[in-house]
Amino acid sequence: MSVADLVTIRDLVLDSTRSFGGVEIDDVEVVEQVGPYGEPSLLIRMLAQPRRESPSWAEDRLRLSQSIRDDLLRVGESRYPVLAMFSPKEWPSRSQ
Amino acid sequence: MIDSRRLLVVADDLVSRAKVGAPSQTALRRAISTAYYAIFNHIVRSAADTLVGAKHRKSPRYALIYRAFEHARMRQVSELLDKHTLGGKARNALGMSEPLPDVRDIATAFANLQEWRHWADYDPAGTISRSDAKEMVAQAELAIRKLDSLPIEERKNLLVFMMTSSRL
Repeated sequence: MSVADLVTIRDLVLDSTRSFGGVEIDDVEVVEQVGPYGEPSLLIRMLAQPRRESPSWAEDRLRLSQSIRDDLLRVGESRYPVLAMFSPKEWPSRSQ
Repeated sequence: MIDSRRLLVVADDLVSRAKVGAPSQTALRRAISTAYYAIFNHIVRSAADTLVGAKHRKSPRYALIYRAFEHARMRQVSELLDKHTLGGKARNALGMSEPLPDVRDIATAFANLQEWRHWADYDPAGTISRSDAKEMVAQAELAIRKLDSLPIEERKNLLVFMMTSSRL
């Protein structure tokens, strides 16, 4: 699968995040966007329960991004994933 | 000389300002852009300091190294390094088949920040959350710290790869 459809990617991301300890992701939305140099990338919007004040959260989030990237590459999806996280309060206005 | 850590203080301050009342998209977007510039500047400066020497900062060769970096190439390299198992080009450049965790973290943070910076500066659509802006500043700070703590040979390999990959 070289260009997985966005629904498949959403399911895959949900599976990735479920197996990623400590991060509670309630919903995921995937949209394709154009990156800085014209290449397509994947904007992965996540509805996450706030837990970002942890000192290790920046590193945890890098690991989550890497875990998703590895899963995508495993199915032949090379578009770069970019994570955006929204609290339940922010989620309704994510695409405004 | 631009100080990348000072840039991070500015970025952090912009996020803090956005806390008052409704989050200001202007302040959050400027925070992300500044955080990206902090990591970009730190990589470039580290390369020039490591390869030419900090005591030669006013020399023409220092300026040449400083200007040799291109955003697009650095992004390509970051994607090549943001993998569990490296491909041939990255393997040759780093001399290993899997990136050190800190090297991969730097690559992931750089690619993320560049993508976010592009969004923040050029895309009027969508809302940037305060937590994401804060997170991007934290990722830039973490990547800068990790770059500084890499063993010297690994740091040199990474910096040279980021500077020259398309010519290898």
